[in-house]
Amino acid sequence: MRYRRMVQGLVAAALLAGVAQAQTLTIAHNIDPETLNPLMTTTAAAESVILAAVEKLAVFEDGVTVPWLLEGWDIVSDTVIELHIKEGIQFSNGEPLDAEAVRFSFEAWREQPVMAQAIAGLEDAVFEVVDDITLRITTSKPVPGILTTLGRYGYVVPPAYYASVGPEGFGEAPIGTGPYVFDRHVPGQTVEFVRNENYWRGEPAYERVVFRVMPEEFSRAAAIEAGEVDIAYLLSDTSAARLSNASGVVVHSLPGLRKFVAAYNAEMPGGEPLLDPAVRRALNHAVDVDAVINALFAGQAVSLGGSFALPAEFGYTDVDDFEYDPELARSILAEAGYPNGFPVTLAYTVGRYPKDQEVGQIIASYLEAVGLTVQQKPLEWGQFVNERSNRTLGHIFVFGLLFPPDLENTFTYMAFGKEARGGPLLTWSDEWWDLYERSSVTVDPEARAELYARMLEIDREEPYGIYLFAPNDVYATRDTVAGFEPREDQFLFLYDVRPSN
Amino acid sequence: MALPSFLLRRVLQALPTVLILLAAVFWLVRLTGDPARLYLGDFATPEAVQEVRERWGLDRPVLVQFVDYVGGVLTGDLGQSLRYSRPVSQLIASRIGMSALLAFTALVLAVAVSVPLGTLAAIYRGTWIDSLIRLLIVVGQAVPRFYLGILLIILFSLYLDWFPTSGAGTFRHLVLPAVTLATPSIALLARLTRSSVIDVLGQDFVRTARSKGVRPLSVIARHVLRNALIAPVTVIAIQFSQLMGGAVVVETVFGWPGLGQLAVQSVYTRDFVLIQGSVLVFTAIVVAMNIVTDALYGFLDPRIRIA
Repeated sequence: MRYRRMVQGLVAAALLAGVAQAQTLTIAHNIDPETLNPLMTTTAAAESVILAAVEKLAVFEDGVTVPWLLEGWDIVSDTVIELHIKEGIQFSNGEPLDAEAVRFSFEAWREQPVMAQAIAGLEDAVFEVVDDITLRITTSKPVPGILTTLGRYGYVVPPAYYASVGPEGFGEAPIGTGPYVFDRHVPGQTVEFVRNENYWRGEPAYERVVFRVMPEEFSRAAAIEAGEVDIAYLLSDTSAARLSNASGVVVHSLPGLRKFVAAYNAEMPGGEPLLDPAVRRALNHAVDVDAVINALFAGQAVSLGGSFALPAEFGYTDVDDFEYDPELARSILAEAGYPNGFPVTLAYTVGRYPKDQEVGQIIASYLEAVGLTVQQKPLEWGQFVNERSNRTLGHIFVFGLLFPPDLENTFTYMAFGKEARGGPLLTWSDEWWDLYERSSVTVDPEARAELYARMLEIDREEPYGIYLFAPNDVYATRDTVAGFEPREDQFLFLYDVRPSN
Repeated sequence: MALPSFLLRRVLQALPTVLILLAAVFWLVRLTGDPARLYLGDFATPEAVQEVRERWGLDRPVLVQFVDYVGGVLTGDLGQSLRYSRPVSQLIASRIGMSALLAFTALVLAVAVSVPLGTLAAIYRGTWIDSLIRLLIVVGQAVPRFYLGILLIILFSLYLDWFPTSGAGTFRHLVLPAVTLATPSIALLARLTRSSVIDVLGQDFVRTARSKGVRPLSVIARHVLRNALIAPVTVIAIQFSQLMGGAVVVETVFGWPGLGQLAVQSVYTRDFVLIQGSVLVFTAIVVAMNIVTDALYGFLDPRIRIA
């Protein structure tokens, strides 16, 4: 009898443990956020953690900005937009989500230097509370990407709490309108949230969400394979291949938004050949991007083709791909006056992106195959950024950009070369500059898309660099989890995730 | 010389070493990149970069920054982390315990395994047992820690399901990182023990003990090991500081929330102040362990006087 009771007790304990486990969603994550204040970071990985508790005004769906905490918006004129906030939402500390909270968040956000990218065009904007649920934004000039900015950076914080704890204090204990409420951050180990029972979309499925800090990609893959976590965030294609055969694991792979280019920097001494658009096209014909994708990423990447743009981005238009044709590349180079090629320095990062060193080495060998003399310059990321800022990086440098899905960001980045803000320098045609300047004040989406279409054609004729690829983002979930939808922007929307049973 | 005055003298001798290293790190990290630009990203205007540099005090001459920093260190203030906006001493204090736990466990494991292994190899010198142990020693010293860690995860976590893949919190979490960290030390200490025991086995007093009919096990335990372990024991203290350093890799592979993981992160983000603080702490540990080693020499072998 005593043994039977003991066994019954053990079974009950095991069942309870099982229930407790089902009530906790554990995510293997790649970083330990330095701050949990979304107004002080622009790292998508950190924001994907914060988003469990602090939400945004809008989000991206299939490359389009759609309202989230907003009911909608009215574009009153090229310089005025009115935001209509959803009624009846409260922050988890009881403060109301209203126009004043949104105004406060914009002001707090604008104070943070790290938001230099986000506030472009909004530096001197006036935020005016029209009524409880309406905020009017008036800018001094048209800001075409304002909706993209809302979708990317439009976090809303509770004014009274934020003011009382300050930006740093908020970073240690954030409060928002999200499905989960921040519970604790154990540095180097976990960031933990509990269920927000008053969440405006209804009670979330899990009692607890735990982000486990696992910087090593292999460790995240091993943890999901061993069943220690429910979701593994950002895995490699190697892990994807292994996990696709593991029982109880579902692999999710989708084209990401981080796109890679071997950008030309004609400003470097000896970079004169790169001023010739024909030479720039020739080098695109010299690299077999599909072969690189197959060899290094097991096919888990999308070739950019003929421009520095992805189909998921606003303003994308298909232009002709550059066929891999080394003979053609050699003949174009010969016609351009370089039958024996010319010397270039090729810089690339080491350890910043998956397989970045291998990518750099392969590109170097392709360029050498068409006659160029390539001096390779592998650099650690900090040094890479340093030299890029000092404009001493190299004639060609390989890097990746992860932007919100709107080509405005890409074109602005390309234009930075002129302003010596770290981008590579190229001599764009007058037409390109004219189109860029017009697009930067064109709010109407259709008109802006037309301008972008022409700019992409020019980018095909006068390439910015050797257009490479956008690797897929890979996630894995256990089959005990349902509702997980990987997103191009690498954010995690945990409300939709629930136990599969 | 009395122990307290010996320690005081060694600490004073070590101070210039620490200061030189600190200066080197201080200047070197500033050659590696601009933390303000890394923090602000590609879109940052030169004005925004300058503003952050001013806020972090990086716009001042390096010498002024260094003097300020050293002044702070002398009063126990290691500065404010650029990225975490928290005192570096607080960040280090929150992590160093975990690193010390891992290093100490690895050390205990290393000693517990290496001494019997080395002794066995010495006793059976020239036999297949010796050959096998020497092979293990070579492998243990040659295999990179991060690779060994991955192999152990695959074997013991994925196939056998004995231990968790990573993390911290229970004894089971500690096993794989400790074994990974300890392996090169096991190899080194076993090699030292083997050669030391072989030396002692050839000494007259061992022959005498044997000829007097003392049982072989007693000869090994009472006479041989007591004399043979002086060299390995003194190396153990140095090993501890090396294990603290080795934790940098192991903590990353196993997601162990120690100082190594924090130091790696600080390098990636060019958090100069945190890098300086981490290096300072690692340096202090190495210096302290060297002093302990010297003290141990004199303590264990009366023929060696603390001088």
